[in-house]
Amino acid sequence: MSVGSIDVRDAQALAAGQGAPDLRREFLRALIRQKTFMVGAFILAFWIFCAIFGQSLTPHSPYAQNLLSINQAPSGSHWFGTDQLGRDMFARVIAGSRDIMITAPLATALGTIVGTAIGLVMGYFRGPVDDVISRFVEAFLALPLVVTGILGVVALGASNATLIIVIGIVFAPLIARTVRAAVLMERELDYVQAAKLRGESSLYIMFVEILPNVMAPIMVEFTVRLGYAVFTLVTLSFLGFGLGPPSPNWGSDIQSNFGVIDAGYWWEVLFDVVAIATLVIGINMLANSIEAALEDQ
Amino acid sequence: MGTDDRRLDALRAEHSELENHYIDELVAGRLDRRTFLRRGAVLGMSASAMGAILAACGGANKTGGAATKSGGATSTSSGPVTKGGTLKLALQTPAAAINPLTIADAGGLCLIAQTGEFLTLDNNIKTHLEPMLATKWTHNGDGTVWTFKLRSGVKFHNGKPMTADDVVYTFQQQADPKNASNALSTFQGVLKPDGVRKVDSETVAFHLEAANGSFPYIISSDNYNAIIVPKGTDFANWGKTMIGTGPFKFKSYAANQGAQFVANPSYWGGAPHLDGSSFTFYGSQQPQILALQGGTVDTIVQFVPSGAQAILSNAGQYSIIKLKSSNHRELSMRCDQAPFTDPRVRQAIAYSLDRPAMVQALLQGYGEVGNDNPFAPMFPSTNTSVPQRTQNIAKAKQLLKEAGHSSFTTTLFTEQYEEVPQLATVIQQSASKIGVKINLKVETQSNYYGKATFGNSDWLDGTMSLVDYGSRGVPNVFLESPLTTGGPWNAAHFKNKTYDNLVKQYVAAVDLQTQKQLAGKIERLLLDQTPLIIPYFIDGLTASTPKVHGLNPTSIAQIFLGGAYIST
Amino acid sequence: MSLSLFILRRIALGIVTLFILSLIVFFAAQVLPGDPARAILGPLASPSAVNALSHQLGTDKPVLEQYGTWVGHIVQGNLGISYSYQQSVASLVGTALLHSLELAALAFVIVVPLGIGGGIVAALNYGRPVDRVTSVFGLTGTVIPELVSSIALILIFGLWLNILPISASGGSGFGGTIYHLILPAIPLVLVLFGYIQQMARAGTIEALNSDYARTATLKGLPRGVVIRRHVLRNSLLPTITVIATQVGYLIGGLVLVETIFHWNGIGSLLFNAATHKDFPLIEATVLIIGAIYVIATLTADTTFSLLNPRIRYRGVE
Repeated sequence: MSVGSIDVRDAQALAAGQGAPDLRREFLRALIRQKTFMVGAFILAFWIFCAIFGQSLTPHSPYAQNLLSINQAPSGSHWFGTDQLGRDMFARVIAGSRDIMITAPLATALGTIVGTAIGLVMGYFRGPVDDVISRFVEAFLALPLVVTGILGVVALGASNATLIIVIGIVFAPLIARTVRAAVLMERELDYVQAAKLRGESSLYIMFVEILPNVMAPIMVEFTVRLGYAVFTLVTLSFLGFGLGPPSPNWGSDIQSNFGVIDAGYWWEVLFDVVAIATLVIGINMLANSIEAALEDQ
Repeated sequence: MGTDDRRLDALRAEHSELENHYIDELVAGRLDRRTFLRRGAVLGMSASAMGAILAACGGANKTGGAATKSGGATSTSSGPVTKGGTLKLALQTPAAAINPLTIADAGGLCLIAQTGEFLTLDNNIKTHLEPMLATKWTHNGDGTVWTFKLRSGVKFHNGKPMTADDVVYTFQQQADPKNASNALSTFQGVLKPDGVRKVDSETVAFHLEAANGSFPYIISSDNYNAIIVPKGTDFANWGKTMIGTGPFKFKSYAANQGAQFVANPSYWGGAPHLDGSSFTFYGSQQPQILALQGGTVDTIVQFVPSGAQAILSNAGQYSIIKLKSSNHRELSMRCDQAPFTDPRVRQAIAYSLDRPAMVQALLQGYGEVGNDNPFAPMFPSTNTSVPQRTQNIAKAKQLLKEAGHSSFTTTLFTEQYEEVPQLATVIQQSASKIGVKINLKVETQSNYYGKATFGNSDWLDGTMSLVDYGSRGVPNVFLESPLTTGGPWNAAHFKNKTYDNLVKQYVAAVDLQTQKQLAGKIERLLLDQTPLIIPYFIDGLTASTPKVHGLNPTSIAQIFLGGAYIST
Repeated sequence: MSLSLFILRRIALGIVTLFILSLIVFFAAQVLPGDPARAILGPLASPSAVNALSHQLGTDKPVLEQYGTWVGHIVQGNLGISYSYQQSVASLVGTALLHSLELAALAFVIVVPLGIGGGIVAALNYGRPVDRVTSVFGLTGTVIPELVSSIALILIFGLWLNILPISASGGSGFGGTIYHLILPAIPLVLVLFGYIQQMARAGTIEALNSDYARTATLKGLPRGVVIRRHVLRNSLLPTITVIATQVGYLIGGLVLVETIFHWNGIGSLLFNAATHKDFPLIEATVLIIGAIYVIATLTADTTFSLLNPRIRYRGVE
């Protein structure tokens, strides 16, 4: 479950110089210089566009059924073919981006915020506090995604809010570990000691002094996790924990059309799969270029 | 073809009043031969007696072989029977312990019927009731006491002879409210443990709580829990030996993996052709289809048309047994909640559906349209004179307007099961054409059913609720539990005294003419009231490679392999 | 702190983690709808039958008592009896685990040599196109969801080329089983390849630049020998670390791959247990997955601390 957790040594390198405006401009320039960033940004922009204006790109509605023309192969009138209820696959793939583009960032943000708070506490207090919370973090990390998914859906009902919470719960301990490692190094530095001597409260030191200095790894972690949020969302939807029909959704559409692959209706899953792949790769390109740009500084 | 009246009169003398009624119906041409065989069998007329009557009515009679088949070889015996070999079958994974009392799923009920046998067999291929461990049965005239004569010389797999004591034990346990028996829901209001009485060592009588004209179906293979086990059997441990009387004996069972059976050489019906059978369990349908295509298995015990395009569209390569069944979906609308308090609103939803298109798209044509009542075309008592409801958008809109609900929003709860979610979206789309906006709530089965009691279940509490009902041999349960006042599955919250009375009369009726007449009244009442919508009935499908013959599947996913063989 | 003490402490902490995990699962399982008896008998069973079965199963007892009974069994090494299957949980989980391990083992057998080899080749060609292509390929593989790669593989090899079976079950004998497991193993291979290749590449580059390798090369030892003797050994350890840290992830991926390719492993068992609210089975399955995770993490940390002794004193896990 520790996919893509970033190397701790980066934290130190990145920590310096946060907040200075010209450095930030420098960082942005470093980003734009990278081809991967531009490609990733383009892909992401494309799907954001689809999520907002997708409906106007096609004359077909993603919901409109036509029981007389089901399982039609791609053609001029239905670019991506039709599904088992005669719905236009192109319209469904385009519209399917909306759910993901809303839930993935929110889920990642939730996981990042909760994880950061936990990580700060663990890293700052160390000792028994760290030991106790670590056990819980470990226990949650050892909890299979399916279990969290089932429990979440069952307890809260199938909704986007549930998916956001489930993914938040899965991500928080991962992010907490990264943040904890960064804080462990940070807390030994002079500025933290100085704040302590000034008599600042622990809360103040954690969130006002340390937090801005560990923003770099948190930022990198956020973009990396965003890719995995998409990954996890489609997986959970495919396993049946997502929103049910008729909402167009990449994961649950694959689930409901997966059963007819062996009858040769490949178009009912292929385009959803391609859509997921492009979005995930796009986000990861962004994540990599942000990491590289931070490292450059 | 003439009627031999003298012979017929001689035969009449041997039969009861009711049986003679059927003979009259047959002679008058109001009963076709197959229905006569079915009804006669329910009343316990022997096959030879019925044959003699049919012969007296003239002409040679073809009986049986009524199952529709498509594709390669037929499954009934053709050519010389080949002995030996082990048949490999794909089966839905049994979801719980192999316990005849508690089993409730397709995989489990199929397994217990491999070694276990019933008093009577609802043979869905021949579409009539057949003797199994009971050879003859009669009732006391009004259908309140039914007496079964047991087959003699039947031995359990442990060598002990089967007697009335074993049958009494089996049914007393199955009908005991203190036991966790799944059959209780069938026996409710029909049979109590003390109603099962031994007459002599080969005769058992069932004293019913109320008259029941279909009782031989209620203890048949339809009631899948009711396999006859030795007296004193500990049901919880039955799965370790699976002692029954059937043509196959237990060899091994591994939960989630598979089960093996071997031929019983001392079977009362003669040793089976096969050396044995081997079932592999699959969690879903798709791998079963792939396994058949890949040659890993010879037979898929039961599959549904949705998602089975790969084998259904390859007719000729596989032999497919298609059984008419009463397996269906019910969309209930709460008659006690606005706007569905008005029957016109409920009718409007029903008129919005294009049923033939739904059968084609959702079932690949393997089904029959429903008429919003549980009388499936397969039941002999179904009254076909009641007109079929068809799509009529203008009329639906008109009805809504009259009711003062030209457009409204409501919620439909349903379960993730087979094609049900897709059916829900089709209903949603159809309703949108008449201005009704339906929000769908598709839930996992455990969420949807909840505690399965009123107030604790989206199934029973939802304003609109779409649920699946498995096939049964008689419509009694479909008529009672989901529709009568106080019925435990009355998701529509339908309360209608006239209806309750009609159903009571129907269940008690022992002759077909009365049943048919009452069925007509019930059908018309349900069309008028429309507490629920039944869009279609789904065929039961079994597939095998062409070299497999003599399979005898039922529409509730049992498969009897006593006559099965593999040709070389 | 000596190494053995470090390991002992980690084992103790691991047990605490598993205990907390069992508590989380236990309390979370209470929110699951319905009850086991209802799940076994089906929605249409009569309430009296459900009550009778609940009593037989003991699921009508207070939840804390159920948990107490379960813990009592666990400390005696007894995983209990599954509610729905009425069989010992140990045998159910054992069979399923073996199945999952078959698949995981095949994936490892393919990915470990491939990853290490790929890493060494990339390192030897540092900065050249071969290096860049394998790295990009590997990194892309790590981010592509198994759902995507599995379906792409099914479409390409199962449907269009029709050369590999798309159902994992159905193979008989050793060869047949492996033949059927190839397609399901590839998505796991794709995800792991990038990590292992990157670790092996970094290890090789470091080792090649080390004094020893340079001296050995200067001494005239053939390059192959240098790589085999020194570089390989030194790059293996970090690779083991990375594999161990990926085990938890691999289990998550297994559930999905098993579902797509219809393989009766630990994933489908867990899935069924949860839908049947089969508490002893859920607990045992989750705990065993948890134990594998804890052991793998321990292995990773131990190898890691063997490499970097100071990590132990810093207490970074």
